[in-house]
Amino acid sequence: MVDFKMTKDGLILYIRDYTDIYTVLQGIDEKVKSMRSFFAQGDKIMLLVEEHEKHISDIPKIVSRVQELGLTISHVLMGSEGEKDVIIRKKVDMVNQGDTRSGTKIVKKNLRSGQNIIHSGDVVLIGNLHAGAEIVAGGSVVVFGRCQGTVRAGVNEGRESIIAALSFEAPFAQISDLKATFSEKIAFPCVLYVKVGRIEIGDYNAKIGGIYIE
Amino acid sequence: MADKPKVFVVTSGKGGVGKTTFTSNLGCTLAKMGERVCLLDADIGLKNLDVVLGLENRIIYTSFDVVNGTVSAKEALVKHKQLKNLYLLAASQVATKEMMAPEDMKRMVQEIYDDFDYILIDSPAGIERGFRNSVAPAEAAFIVTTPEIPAISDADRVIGLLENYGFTEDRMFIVLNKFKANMAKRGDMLDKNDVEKALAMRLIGVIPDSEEVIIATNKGIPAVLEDGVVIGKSFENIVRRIKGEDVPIDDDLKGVSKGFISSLLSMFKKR
Repeated sequence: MVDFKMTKDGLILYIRDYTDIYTVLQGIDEKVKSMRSFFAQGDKIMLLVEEHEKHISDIPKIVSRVQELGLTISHVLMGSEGEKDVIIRKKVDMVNQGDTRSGTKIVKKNLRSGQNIIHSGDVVLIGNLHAGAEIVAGGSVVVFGRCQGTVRAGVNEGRESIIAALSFEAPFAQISDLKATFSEKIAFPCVLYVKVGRIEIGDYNAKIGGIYIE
Repeated sequence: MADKPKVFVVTSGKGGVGKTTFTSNLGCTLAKMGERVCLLDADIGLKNLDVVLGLENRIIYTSFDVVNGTVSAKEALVKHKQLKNLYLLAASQVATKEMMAPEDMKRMVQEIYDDFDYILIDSPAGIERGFRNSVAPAEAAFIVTTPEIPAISDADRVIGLLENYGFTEDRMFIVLNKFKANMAKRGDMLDKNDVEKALAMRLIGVIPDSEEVIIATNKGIPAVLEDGVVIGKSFENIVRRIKGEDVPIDDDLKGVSKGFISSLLSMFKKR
């Protein structure tokens, strides 16, 4: 009901349509306390209340509660916030959505440092994944190129997901909840998969028959 | 936007790779070939381009005055001492990067667009406001990098950012600066092939590391204006490649192998 959203203009305290003002105030208390380390005294945030016409009399209460918690409301926004501006929670939301398989996303480019692909299905990258770039996929990830960046696969589909690349030079990879670090560079096509609770890395030609064509 | 790009931004992400030196030398090379060139310093608050060109005493108005409307962009231009078709639009040292917006830069470049064949914008290090300001009016970009991992990693980031701003790969030119052929041959330094592989892009030119540049910079004369410098060849080749000529990249380093003999010769000439 109470949530924070990061937009390019700043942080928004987003309050969805509600019936009871006291649960909202309680929600604000809990939310701010859980993010205590994120805020400094006097930080400015914006407030957005869904259906604000209905709750117009409650807005002063919300503002004063936020101020008691040491934050300042700089603006009160109208309307409902479009999803397109939300950045910070995108990754987390995707995880919480569970099994939202939205097909395979195919990207034809070199993914460079600072760029990322976040998709709830499988991801195929035709090009290099450079150091500092990131793929977060609900399912499996295939990189037709050099893989030097961070790959997080199986966010939705779990440990069945795999990561395949023409060469794997990344120091780190994640499949579902398992994480692994790598010190060696693998210069040939390879597959990363989960075997008894840890990430294994194998030769593509040797492993393709056994691992995921079953 | 014209067919051939005319407004170039020189950027790198990392500092100290030679953006300003590259801008001044490329500008001089173009001007020597008869092109009308304007150099625009976008490093507001930390300006250097005027010093490298030896024009620091001639600046009356800066780009900040243009943005404020005190003078027009043409009035603020400073002509180079030797090259009559090379102009500088200097940055203010007292202003800050936040005092300018990308739109101001666009407007300023538009004002002088028709008077020049090439406009080179010297961007500050970093990817913040100053970077956005200098990229906004550009039609193409030079990304200067050195054969070091941090510089290449920053260049990769900058290429990614430029892609987000709508630059295509055929409008981004990678320049490998401060290249030491001897060290690369021994395997102590990344070779140009390694850099091309790491960035997954072709190089537009390789500039050998050279002491002449340091000497020339301190004199306030861009190195290419002196006779017989090693890096002159690289800049000429870069210009030819921008104009669409196919010049092999190894041609850039031909001057270096002769470097020892020609430096001996130049020693004799001086005496």
